[in-house]
Amino acid sequence: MKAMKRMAAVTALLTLLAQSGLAAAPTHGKEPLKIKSNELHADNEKKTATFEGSVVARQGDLTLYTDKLVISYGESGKDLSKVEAFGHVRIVQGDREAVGAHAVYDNKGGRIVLDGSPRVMQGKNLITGKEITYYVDEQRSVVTGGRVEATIYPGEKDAGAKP
Amino acid sequence: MAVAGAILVTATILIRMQRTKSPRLAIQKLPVQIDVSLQAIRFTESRHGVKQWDLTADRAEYDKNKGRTSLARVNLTILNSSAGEIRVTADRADYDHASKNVSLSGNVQGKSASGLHFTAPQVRYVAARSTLESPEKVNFRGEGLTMEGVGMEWHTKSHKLKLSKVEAEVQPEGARR
Repeated sequence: MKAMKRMAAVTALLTLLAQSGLAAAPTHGKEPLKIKSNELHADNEKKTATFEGSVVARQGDLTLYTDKLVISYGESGKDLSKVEAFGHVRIVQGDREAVGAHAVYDNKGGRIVLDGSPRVMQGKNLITGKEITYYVDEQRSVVTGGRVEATIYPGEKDAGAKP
Repeated sequence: MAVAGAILVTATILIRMQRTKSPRLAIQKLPVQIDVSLQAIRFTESRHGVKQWDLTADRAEYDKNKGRTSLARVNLTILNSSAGEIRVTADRADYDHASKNVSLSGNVQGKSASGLHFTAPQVRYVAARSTLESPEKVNFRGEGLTMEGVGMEWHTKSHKLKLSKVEAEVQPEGARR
């Protein structure tokens, strides 16, 4: 019975998220990505730049904290193809926060796929699952794979919030 | 009368001779510690028959005791067939003949074949490791990238770069002007 209630809550939450009219025009893909770290190792052959140690990456109102951030460039070596974060990943965007052990940021698509015990929180609301896709511009998240758990406070100010 | 005239002529000649200055030395003396001074020089460093780098300078002063050549207005080209060359210019440089290291200082600027520029107050080319190193702040600029950090270690063979205390700004493709 409890599980059914939980499932219903998740379904409701996902429906809310899917119907969210708050989808903003994508802006993150065009904003500069500002990165600070203790060290950088750039490899011209692999076309990667690895930032290590207390990494802080900011893009617009989104801030990503992690142990290691690997930026991969395309064949030309000039265009961002992939941004991947390893270890203690924490994403903060307004009052929305996501954590996980690993994340892949698709800059063009405006989404971050989190795994490694991922959680997305907004206010008191919380969702967890095996893998969470965090939509940067649309302010919604989708949980995929494994067992989904959600804690929602319908009566709260953040009711129906979009963790 | 004739005697007085002779004395006057002699006196005039002596006075004019004293006024005439001795000619300046055409070549200035080198400082004591400098053994050879050359203009517009070119060094080439080869290892196992393969050219490693070319160095040109407007002026070079060789100090035999220190085994060092001080260079002015320097252009160092580090050659690498696979990753392309790196060109570095500087106001001054010291070339150590024993280690074959080149210490560049004053308005050091570099550019890699891939289009990455850097500037630094000083950079050292370490021949044994084939690295460009700088303990000071280095600023980088490439297509869609600006970056600064300290402790640069740039391996000129592999073009692998290590930098500490990094601040970088990456412009995504769509944001570039």
